[in-house]
Amino acid sequence: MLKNLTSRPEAVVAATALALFLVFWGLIGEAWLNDLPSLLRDVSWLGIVAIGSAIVIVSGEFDLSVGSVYAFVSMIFLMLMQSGISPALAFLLSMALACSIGALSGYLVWRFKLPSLLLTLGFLFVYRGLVEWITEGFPLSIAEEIQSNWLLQLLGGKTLGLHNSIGICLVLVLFYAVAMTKARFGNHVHAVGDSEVAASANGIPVGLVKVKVFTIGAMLAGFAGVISAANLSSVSTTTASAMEFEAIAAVVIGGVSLLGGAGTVWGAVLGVFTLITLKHALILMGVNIFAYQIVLGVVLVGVVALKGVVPKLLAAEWVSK
Amino acid sequence: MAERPQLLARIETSVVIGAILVVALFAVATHGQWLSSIPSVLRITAQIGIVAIGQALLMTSGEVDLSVGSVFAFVGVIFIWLTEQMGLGIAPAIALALLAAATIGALNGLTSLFLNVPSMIVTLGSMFIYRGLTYISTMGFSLSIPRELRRDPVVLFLKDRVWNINTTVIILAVLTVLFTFLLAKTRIGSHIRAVGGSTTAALANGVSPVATKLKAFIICSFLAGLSGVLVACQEGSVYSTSGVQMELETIAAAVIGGCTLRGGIGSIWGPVLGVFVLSSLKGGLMMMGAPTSWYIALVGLLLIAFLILPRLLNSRMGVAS
Repeated sequence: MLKNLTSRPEAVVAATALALFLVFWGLIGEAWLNDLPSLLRDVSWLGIVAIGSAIVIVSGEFDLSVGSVYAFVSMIFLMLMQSGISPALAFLLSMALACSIGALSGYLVWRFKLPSLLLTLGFLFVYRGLVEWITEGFPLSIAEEIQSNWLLQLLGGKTLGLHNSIGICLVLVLFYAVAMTKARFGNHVHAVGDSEVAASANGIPVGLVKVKVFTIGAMLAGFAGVISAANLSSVSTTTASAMEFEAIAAVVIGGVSLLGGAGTVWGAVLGVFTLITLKHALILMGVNIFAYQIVLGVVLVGVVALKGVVPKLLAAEWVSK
Repeated sequence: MAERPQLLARIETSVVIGAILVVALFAVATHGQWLSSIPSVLRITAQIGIVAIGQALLMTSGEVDLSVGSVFAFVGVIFIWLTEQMGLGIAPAIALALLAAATIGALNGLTSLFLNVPSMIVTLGSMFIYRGLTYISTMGFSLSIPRELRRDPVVLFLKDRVWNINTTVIILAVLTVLFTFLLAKTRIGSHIRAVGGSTTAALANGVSPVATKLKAFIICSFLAGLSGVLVACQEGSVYSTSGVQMELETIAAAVIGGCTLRGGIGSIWGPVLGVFVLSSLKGGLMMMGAPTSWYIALVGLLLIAFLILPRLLNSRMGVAS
């Protein structure tokens, strides 16, 4: 039983995340607890994106455009509201936009058998370019009078001192965890990620699964963007740049296999928690913020390398016994 | 397949047509004014082109390097640090900096190949690490070559022009010829193409995929470092944001020039011409007064178009992909 629990990569991440959290609490003290709401807020934003990235990676593909989609969709959301459209309608329209962005990537990947890494790298450029072009480098913001709108309050407000986005993130994790493990959809995603040929031989509509997976990935990225826009009331050109890399790093730390076919949504969110904990701790301890980049890189390579080495070591030990 | 004329069958054909179109378009759109900016376009082409040669070689072997932009900047930082803090002359500093670049490539390659981690993830990690180190050592600004070394013969040689063409452009031309020959005619070249096509088939024929890919990784980082040092000499400084997005530009150029991430097929002069197309676009758009964001979006669109086009053409012409 215990063996079963510790052999799950998610258990290791959960333990690491908890340990890190406690260590930093000890090191930083009171300020660490005061920072907790904003820590959890950042976890929920990146977490929502990472859920989508995890699903895409489990299906055997990559989506590098999520950071740009995050910025692009939240920018469109703000622009729609500036043009006088009600927040609810603007929200629906920007979600529709996010979904069509994802569906387009998924369709192109499937139809032309393109390497998704390169295709979404292209889209990363395209959407970031559009954001820079439209905003002309200036930040956009939400007008004062609609900031108290119920939808914006629901998405970006606080309840009992905690940001609503944390609850939203938890609901999404639950929903997609169930969808990935108990529903036919998750079954198909795992099958396609494991072997496209085998999946298609068993009658799984591979193309449709890919379109769905990319649509969910972009939708969640756009949704996280809209939530953060509702909370901050503004979007700038550099919003969420390099977020795709953070999301992939988190997903990898959370135990998702980069080769596809294996991994959990909640593991990815635990990975996000680990990363954001490190980030906030470095900031609070007054370490140069650029050190976070180095830490991110080392953790990413280290975790993946460990995953390659540890099973070999364990196997060797087992054989020698 | 046999009926297709030899010329159209070459993977570089589309980039040649693209380059001619771009030159013609800008020459006409700016009433010939653009032609006078060709020297500066070539100078940018040299910076990115030297890096793109390495990227193309690595992509032909079936791997990719996302860290080239960071290595470009960081090796420049090492070079300046050696001259400034260690008091070395220009020539020994260049030699040591290039050695560091090759070491970085070896590290990337060893981590990826021996620990079985996808190169994309390893180099994503090292992209963060070296960019972080660059930010920290430049304090977010820039580093400059010490004043007394600015008249060094090597620096003057690199800043010099021959028939109004920068020395770096000539270096790029020499390297292009050298590596085109290397990929097409030498043993290491055919090994690189073999492991890119199929690692198992290569192994069965006595070609070691690990040794071959490791060489490609080393060459790739070495060239990125070389370009970094050349630019540091030419401009006298390295900035914290030097080479940002270079990984994206070089990958886009490699794809435009006929490489695919699937490996096995590759070109050196195609990608260099691809860099020329991208640099012409950059210069041309600036001259026409378009915002720089157009360039980013266009690079993305070109990358996507060149991914899809060959597959469309192949299926139209009835060639099995």
